Amino acid sequence: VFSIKPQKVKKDRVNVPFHPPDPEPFTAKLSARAVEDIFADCYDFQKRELKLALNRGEVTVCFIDGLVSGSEVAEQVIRPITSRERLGCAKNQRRALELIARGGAYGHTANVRENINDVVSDLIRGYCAVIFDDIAAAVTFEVRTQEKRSIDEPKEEKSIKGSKDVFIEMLKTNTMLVRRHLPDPFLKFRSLTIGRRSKTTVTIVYIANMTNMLLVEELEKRISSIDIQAVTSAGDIEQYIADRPRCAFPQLLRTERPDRFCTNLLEGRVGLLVDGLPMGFLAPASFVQFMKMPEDNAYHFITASILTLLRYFAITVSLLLPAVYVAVAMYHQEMLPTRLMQTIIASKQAVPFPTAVEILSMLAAFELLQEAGLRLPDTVGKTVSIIGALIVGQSAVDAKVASPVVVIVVALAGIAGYTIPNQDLSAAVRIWRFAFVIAAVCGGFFPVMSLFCLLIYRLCSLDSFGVDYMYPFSQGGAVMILRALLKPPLYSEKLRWPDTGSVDRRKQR
Amino acid sequence: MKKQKITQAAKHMIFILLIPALLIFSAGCSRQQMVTYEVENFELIRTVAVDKVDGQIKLTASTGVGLEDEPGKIYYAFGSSIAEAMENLRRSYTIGEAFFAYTEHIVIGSEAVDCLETVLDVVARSIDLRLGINIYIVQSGTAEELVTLCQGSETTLSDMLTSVVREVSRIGRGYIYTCGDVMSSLAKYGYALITVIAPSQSEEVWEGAPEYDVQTLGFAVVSEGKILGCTDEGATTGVLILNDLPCMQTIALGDVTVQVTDIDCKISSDDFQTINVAVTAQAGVIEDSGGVSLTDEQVRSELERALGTKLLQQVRCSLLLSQQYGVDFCAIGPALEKHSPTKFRDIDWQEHFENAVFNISIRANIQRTYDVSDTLELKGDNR
Repeated sequence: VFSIKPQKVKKDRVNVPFHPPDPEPFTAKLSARAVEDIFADCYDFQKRELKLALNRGEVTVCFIDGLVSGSEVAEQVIRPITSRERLGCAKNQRRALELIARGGAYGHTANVRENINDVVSDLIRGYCAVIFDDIAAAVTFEVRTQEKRSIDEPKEEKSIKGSKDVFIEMLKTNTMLVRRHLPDPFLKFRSLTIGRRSKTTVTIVYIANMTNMLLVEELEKRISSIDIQAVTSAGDIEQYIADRPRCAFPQLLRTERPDRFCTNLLEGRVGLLVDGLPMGFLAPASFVQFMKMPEDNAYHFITASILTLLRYFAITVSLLLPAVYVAVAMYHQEMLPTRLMQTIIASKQAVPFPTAVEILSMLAAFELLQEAGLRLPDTVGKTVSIIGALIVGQSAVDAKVASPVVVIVVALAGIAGYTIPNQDLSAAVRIWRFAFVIAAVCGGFFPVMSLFCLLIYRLCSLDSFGVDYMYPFSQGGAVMILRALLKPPLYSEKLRWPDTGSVDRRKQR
Repeated sequence: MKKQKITQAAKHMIFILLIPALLIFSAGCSRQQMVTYEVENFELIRTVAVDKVDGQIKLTASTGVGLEDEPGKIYYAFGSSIAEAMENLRRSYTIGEAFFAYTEHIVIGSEAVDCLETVLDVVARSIDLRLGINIYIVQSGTAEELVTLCQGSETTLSDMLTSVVREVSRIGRGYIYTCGDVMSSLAKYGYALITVIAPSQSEEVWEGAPEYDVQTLGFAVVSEGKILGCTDEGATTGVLILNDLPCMQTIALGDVTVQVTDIDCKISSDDFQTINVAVTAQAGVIEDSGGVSLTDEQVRSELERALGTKLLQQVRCSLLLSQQYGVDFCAIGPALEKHSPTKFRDIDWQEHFENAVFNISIRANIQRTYDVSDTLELKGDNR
């Protein structure tokens, strides 16, 4: 009897056998019938049997409807191969195949395939296959549909003075964007395929005479070792190639902007583009990179330096402010000026909850609001944020559920968190903010400082592709630390940062 | 390889455990510090008054006026020691937690001066009280009386004393000694100066104003738990000049009023019998009701002479008083010690000080500032 209820099996992971991915899952001889069998139950699979000119036999044109452009199949494939002028001289099917492959049809790419696995692989990538049953061979043409999302403005990394294009889900468009931003003949795109079922194409991007090839090899090795079903999200790449995937802090620089991607390539980093993901990844990534904005180069260096310092201040405020408030309010009350202490006392007089409950619940409410705002459509999301802020802020204060100081502290921490340029880093800070508050509740400043030391220790022990995560704070020296905290004028940045191990360190005269 | 990994993980764990342990032990964490309080229960004590009644310590604690002009509160407690009285104060009032960390002023009644060292000991040991708390002695009467007299519906002694401190710092004249100053002076020299305060009839007429105000009356010279005496107005200024403390005073010299803007005092002696005190003062005219022209050298030198005479009186007054009490509160000894430390170590300074002859020289310089008469004439011409 068939049951959909899963069996309860102890030690599930041990009992399920491991099958390595099979590069050639289909063993049948190449024929239109065999291909049709593979795509049985696929309503979008289309085939058309055609007679070659001068009765030289029959061929079958197969393609996946929607993936390929119907008009291009008709114009570039079907019309030429049925034309007497083009294939009239072919005496047999072998000769006809050669003629088609060598220009008899107009497709800009033409691959001769004799293995059914190759044909299937091409078909699911938007190719059209012309199958010759008698000689068990096929020619495949790339006639992919051009339907894609337009190159929009960046949504996550807003651009004011920079370029306004953004990566999209099409790998070829993304490589085109990179090439357009960086027309260097030494710019290389090394292609790999991952995903047992998705067979996703990923491209390692680097500049040949500048990037440390050990980095390229290491990235290639890590990507090749990925064994997953399909690449559907950024996590499918990040979590498999990061050095410490259990750490909440991001270890790969992710960007949706081609200009930022290229700037980092020029710093000696290795890029990674994945078909289906509208973003590029960069390695190695250090904490300093996450605190930089793509716009920094566009601003005057004094403005950029002040903004960078402001960001470091903001991350500290976002991480520690609620914890400091809890520690001061519960354990170290003598630290505040008298008037401020009086204000806090006055604001907390009618609130029935202890400080710990008050701040943890407000932080949780803030996170809920943020999540609700993110998940809902833009228009509704904004409304939810405004109503939520009013309800959670003003109404909670009016109803004496929360004190105004707590609302201010939580809001300040939240707003400071928004200034962090990288969303992944911001998310990690949100998690640690809770940890710091809990530490403060447990014992004031001593646990907070202990946890802070642990966090610093943890970050200093991290590395990304062999580069210290906290470089240059961990071992860079005073000059490099200043370069990280302040933005030197572009004309004074003669050398690339040494952390990437670039073979050509000089950037300019 | 596996063994190496385990060793590395063990090292990480040890390090992770060491950090909190080190922080806790090196920071001097104690159980007392790890107790949590909710701030809304606090009564912030801002002034502590200490008196002695029938051999017992009477503590009077005053809160300042609240943020929304809530009237200040006064709490009382008795105890055989100050710490006990503080504990009793905390226990007596169940509504709020008496919180001493915000204490800004300690006022000691004239009868409780012998408790001074005990008060300082409590301040030094307490985790709430700080050495930066200002300390005062009430001229005659109890500290509790002063607290009660100065209590209004919209102001308290705490607020008045805070205003006094702010004013001293603003006008740049006078000094309010803190517990730390007094403690270090007693430990080093065996005497200390403490600001003397007393209630005075208030001239304020607004609603809710207290009947009495607080005023400072110079310094009390305290040694071995006793008040040796107090400095009068002239001697107080002399003390400020000789101790190199802020002393921006306004002096009326006939038709002209000058303000001393900078004053420098140099003390030296070759034989410790005759001590040279050289005071240089800079002053500026701030009011001229007689049309005095400072461009006239003779007028100017006369004014400078008059100012010098005033300053000489102040310095002489404080030196005579210090010799009279037999206490070097003008800090002549420390100044000479700095000048010639080896010689100073070989003499009995107390004996020398009581018999010393002071050779005081004052050099006053009045700067020519704004000449009002010229300007008026200029304006007249223009018209």
